Amino acid sequence: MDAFVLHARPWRDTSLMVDWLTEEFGWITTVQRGVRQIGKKSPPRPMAFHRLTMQLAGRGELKTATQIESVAAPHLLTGQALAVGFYFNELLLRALHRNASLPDLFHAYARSLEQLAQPAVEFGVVIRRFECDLLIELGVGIDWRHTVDSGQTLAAEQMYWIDAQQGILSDHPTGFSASGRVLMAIADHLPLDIAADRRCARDLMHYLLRPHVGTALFHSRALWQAGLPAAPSTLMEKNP
Amino acid sequence: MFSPKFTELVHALRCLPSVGQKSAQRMALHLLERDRLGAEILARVISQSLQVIGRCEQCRIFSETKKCSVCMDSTRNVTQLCIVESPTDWIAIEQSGAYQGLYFLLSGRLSPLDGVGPHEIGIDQLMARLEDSPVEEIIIATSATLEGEATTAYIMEMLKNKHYHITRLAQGIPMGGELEYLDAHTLSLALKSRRTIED
Ligand SMILES: [Zn+2]
Repeated sequence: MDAFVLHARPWRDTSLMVDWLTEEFGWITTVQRGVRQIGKKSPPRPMAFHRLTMQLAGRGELKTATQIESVAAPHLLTGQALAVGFYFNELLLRALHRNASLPDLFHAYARSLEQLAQPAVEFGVVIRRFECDLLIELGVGIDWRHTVDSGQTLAAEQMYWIDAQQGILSDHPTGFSASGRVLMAIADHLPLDIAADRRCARDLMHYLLRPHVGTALFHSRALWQAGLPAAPSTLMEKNP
Repeated sequence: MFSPKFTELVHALRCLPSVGQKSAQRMALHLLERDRLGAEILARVISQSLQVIGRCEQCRIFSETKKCSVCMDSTRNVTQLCIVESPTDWIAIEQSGAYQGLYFLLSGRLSPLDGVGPHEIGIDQLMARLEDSPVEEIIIATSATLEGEATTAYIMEMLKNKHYHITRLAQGIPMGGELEYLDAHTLSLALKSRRTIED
């Protein structure tokens, strides 16, 4: 089956416990025995952000991935793209439940990694889009183009309220408020020029994801938040 | 088993890496049965080591003095600083004999999914070390893993606009490595860091 490694952690003396995102079974965990032996010829460790195929072997709870092979050339994520990749993995491991088939999310993840590996990437756009895909997969996706209470198409300069359960509201202020401009950019996967708008889009997605991922800090975010000088680059999302 | 103390000893020995219940039992029996003197020396050296071995205040490697022997060595090149993520990497580079500068030891590498962030690995101490120092070149010698890559990227970001000459260890084909047996990742890294042949 097609799969990505989300995380690998040491298990016992020489083995790894590996979390995978698979097309068929969603998030699964396997044990890879003997891959951490030093000095001996050990099988290569499967690497994250690298589309692989593998077979599940073994009976009982702890399966092992075998016949691990790469499908495509690996994406070499570096710098901020790598930090964002880690963020996606952290997000998935916190939001998903094991063994639920998620083919759409799998493809959204693959697409997002491809976008991250591009030379001039709008990190904010890629991140918001993947977060939207995750919300849909969690069964709480919202209509980003219309208000639910009045059925109107959004207008750029109007303010709206977003309720995690209902969606976008034109009236009855509850939940999170954002301008039509921000909501339309999220709907169309477009970059936002104004820093305050980018922050608003980021905070809105956090607000919507919070019930599913909890309030604990995302460690991957610390990798691009601390001490970044105010570079003029629009490629960098300052506070993604 | 025989006595509560024996059980305690076996349990204590299991703190060593790669030592399971069986090996720990074998070690305990060996010490008690065949080498009581060795056991005494071991116990004494361990407790003395814990007392006298601290960390070098400049590079964070284990040291019995405030500064380690490398940092005190006046023949070393103080303008070069090599950043490593483990004492074993420090030893490996030192034993290669190819490096004459100083070191800085991080406590591991960034691993967001394991909750290991910049603070945990001592990036702030690295920044403090660089303040008012004669360092000109920084060699980042993190491992060739995604976490090593993340660590490098983070350090580069922190050192941006600071006018250091920053280099990192070349990645690619190991000595004796035949191309057809390399994994795709290694090969593409090797291609990425290819260099011009000078005559
Ligand atoms: Zn030192």
